[in-house]
Amino acid sequence: MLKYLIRRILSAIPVLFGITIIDYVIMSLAGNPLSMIQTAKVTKAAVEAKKAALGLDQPVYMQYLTWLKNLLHGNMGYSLQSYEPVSKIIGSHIAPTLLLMGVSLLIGFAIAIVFGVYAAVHKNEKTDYAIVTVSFLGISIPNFFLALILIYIFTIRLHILPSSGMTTQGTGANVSDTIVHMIMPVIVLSSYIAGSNIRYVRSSVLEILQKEYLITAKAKGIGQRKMILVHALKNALIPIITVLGMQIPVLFGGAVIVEQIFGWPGLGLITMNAILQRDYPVIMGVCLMTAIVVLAANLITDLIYALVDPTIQY
Amino acid sequence: MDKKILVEVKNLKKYYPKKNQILFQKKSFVKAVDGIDLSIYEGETLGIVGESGCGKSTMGRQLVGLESATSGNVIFKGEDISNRNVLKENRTNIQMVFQNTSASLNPRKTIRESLYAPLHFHKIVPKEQIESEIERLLEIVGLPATMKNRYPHEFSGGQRQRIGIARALSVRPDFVVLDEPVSALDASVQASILNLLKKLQKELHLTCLFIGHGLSAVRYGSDRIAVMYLGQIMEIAPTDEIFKNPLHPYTKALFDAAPVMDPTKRTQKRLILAGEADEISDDSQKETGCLFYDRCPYALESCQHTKMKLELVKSLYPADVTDGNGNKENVNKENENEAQEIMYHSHLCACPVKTKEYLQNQNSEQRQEAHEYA
Amino acid sequence: MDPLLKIEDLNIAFYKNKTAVSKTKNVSFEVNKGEILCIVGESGCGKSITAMSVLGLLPQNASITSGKILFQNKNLLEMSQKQLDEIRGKDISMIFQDVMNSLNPVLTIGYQLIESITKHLGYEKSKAKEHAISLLTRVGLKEASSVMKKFPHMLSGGMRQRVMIAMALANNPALLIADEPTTALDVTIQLQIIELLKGLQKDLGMSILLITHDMGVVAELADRVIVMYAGECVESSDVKTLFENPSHPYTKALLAAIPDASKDSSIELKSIPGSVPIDYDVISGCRFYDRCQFASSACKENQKMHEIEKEHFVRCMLFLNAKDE
Repeated sequence: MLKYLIRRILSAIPVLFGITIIDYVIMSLAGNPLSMIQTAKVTKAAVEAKKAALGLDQPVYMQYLTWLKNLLHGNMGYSLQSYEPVSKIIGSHIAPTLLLMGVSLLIGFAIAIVFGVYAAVHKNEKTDYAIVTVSFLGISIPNFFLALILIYIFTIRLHILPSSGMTTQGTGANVSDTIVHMIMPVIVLSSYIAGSNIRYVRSSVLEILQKEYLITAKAKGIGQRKMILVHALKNALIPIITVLGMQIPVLFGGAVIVEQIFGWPGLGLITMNAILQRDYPVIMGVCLMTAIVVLAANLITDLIYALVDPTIQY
Repeated sequence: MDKKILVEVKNLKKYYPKKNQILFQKKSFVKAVDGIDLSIYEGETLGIVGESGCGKSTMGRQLVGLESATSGNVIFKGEDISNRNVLKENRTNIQMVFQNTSASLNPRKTIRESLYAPLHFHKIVPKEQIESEIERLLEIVGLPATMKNRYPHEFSGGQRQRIGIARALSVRPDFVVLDEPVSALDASVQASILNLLKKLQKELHLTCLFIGHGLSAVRYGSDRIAVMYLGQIMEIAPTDEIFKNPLHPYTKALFDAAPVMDPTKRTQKRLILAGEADEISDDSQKETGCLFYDRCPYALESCQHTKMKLELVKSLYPADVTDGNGNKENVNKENENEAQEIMYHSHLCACPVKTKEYLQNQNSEQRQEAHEYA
Repeated sequence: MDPLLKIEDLNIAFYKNKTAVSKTKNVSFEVNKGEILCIVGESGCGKSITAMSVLGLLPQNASITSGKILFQNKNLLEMSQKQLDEIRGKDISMIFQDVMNSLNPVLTIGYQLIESITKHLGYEKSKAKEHAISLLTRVGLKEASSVMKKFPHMLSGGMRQRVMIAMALANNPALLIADEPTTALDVTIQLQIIELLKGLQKDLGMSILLITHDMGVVAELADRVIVMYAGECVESSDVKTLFENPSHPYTKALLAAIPDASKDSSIELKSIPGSVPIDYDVISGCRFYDRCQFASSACKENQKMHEIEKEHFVRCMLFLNAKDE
């Protein structure tokens, strides 16, 4: 197992390199950040000087290598806008994103499993149809739309939930305040997760229910509850874990939009701004972080596989 | 009576590397086929019997070119089929009938379409004649030609197997490997397929390799039978001989294990083989000793160390050979033909202990007979 | 003495697109205490679903349209799932054909054994564990305590079937239903399992309802035999009589069609012409009519079971002269 782990980590490194190169190339195609600030008032010479100062007069591959060199020294560069170290910017914003993502993932999956199993057991009954229909809604409603609806209902009409930020201005950070602020963004994110996974869970459980060992379990007289919760569920979760692993990068993307709408101070917010302002170092920093999180999530998924499925040995 | 060798198998091996190799450790293999030497003669049906995991299916696929060989050769009509060109040229000469009738027919094609493809591709008959050829093939295997536009799932298992046979025969092969063709069929259907195979083999002068794990099915159709265990041949002899004188302990166990269709013989004592065939790992001990040592009720200490080899026990080749009219043929043929005849009719066994025992008994019997006549 | 299990006029139907297709027609038989009854027939004859119906294990698209299943004089078809759960795994146990897939791959052998023991015998965990280990030893598995910790994929087919048998015997059932227990196994392992079942049956005195398509297994194990064809019982007798005096044309044809390794290979196998009718539920009269060499117009009538000698019944009008059932 350990050797497998080492092998995976080692093979992840060239992947990371590849990702950063591709990211840098795409980014450089988007244009020069300085073209944003060029106006009539700013002279060309000043722009050129700024360019040189920021090292933007170098050809793209040189810029990339410089960035890489700095990265290997632990320096992620400085924001072209605020001149703050990228590592500081990311560090202060990553926690809220992880919090939001993590909670949404857990709640979304919990809902998916509970309702997916229920729908499978009650296949083709009314409750099954109802659950599947609702799950379709969860996937089809664009998250920004759902967000706006929720804001309209709960903030504007009912005045019970705050619509932006992570904490109420002025008060100290405390847990219940954060939770209240999290309610709507989590609903938006987890409705998508729940919606898309209910059907996976349902079909996975249905497939397991056809298996011979479920008939053996029934023939032993252990009762339906045990059959579903012990014999079926454990097997059904195995393919679900793959799906979970695949949803994490999707979540990253979805979180960007949701964070914008709810003013959630996470990575999504700064990423959007960095993109619009062509703040290369910040963009690269976020890309790198995202890549690491996704690769780590894949690795952890595979390790969890080995824990749940005894036929897999690394 | 020329006995020509059609297919020659020389030291054929197929090793599969075991998963999860830790770097720098000696690789360990699953030895599916572990050194098979075999000669298949023109016009004969050779039966291969063995239990699951003995490598018979793998070997069958190697003979047809569906699997490569880790080492060793399969020589068809004097040429090595590991050479891609040789295989390509002989593709229509070597065919296979598969065990799983539903999996080996394309469920989305009608029977006609499935049979059309090989006839057309290999230009077996001119294009205008393909339809009638399809009908002729279906007739040969006992299916009404009107069914040619149906899909596989509309047929029963036995009928699908007939289609499989028709397909194999469509390209006019010389050599057909039948991989457990009746194992998945009901008892009454097995009979009709076995009868069909026997008839076709005779009429079309086919050479067949009949792989089975059902002893009775193999016995019914085969001229010679080879018993396989863990990738090696334990015993090989003409059918009647091997049933009369099974020498190898595994052969005996296999025969004894076949359920007897007579409830009154239930309590008869017989050899119940304990344990199970274990996958051979890279144990150096197992490389030299007898593979059957663990389960053999007659095992001796020496069996662990002696290298296993098929040895000639005797040949049933008659001293006098008569031709059709009862006249004694000239036996002074070229040495090679004679040698082939001897090999074809010979009984080989890989158990030195039992072989020795048998030969000693034979000798003492003969001496006794001589005594009586004296 | 009342029979342990009595099936009366059992009719099972499968539903395909809301139309019912009858798969068994008035199947009736009894299993007595301490005996091994074999139901033999080819694929599609309805023997497996008859066996599955006893413990209520029919798939969702199948249901019992009429008949009774009496176990110790109680009709199992009138019981609730909860009541059936008390009987399943305790008074009646079942082992299945597909050994490779009949054990849960993510649970240890020990867990799968113990859950049955604790449910039905109420033992506490350590006692249940001891019992499980003794069961595994009893069915011939060496190093039983290490097998307890293993997962099914670590065991061979023969070993898995032994585990299944151990699970079935855990609570000392009165009846063991075995659905083609040796079909998927190699012939030498098959013999081991047959001998194991023989021995266990003698030691424990339980009854066995054995489903098989292999006449050889019947010859080895059965006390009595029921032959089924296209959803009907066509012959029933004790095993010796069946082999000595097979009477129904299907039984006779079946025995003649089986290649027997002990017979001379030059004897040609007599195959049965035609094949099992796919939609046999719509056939009126004898369902073997198309393939029978003794067929006549009288066969188009619904056939009854006739007792031709003591305890030997045949469903064929050829035997009309004998005492009627």
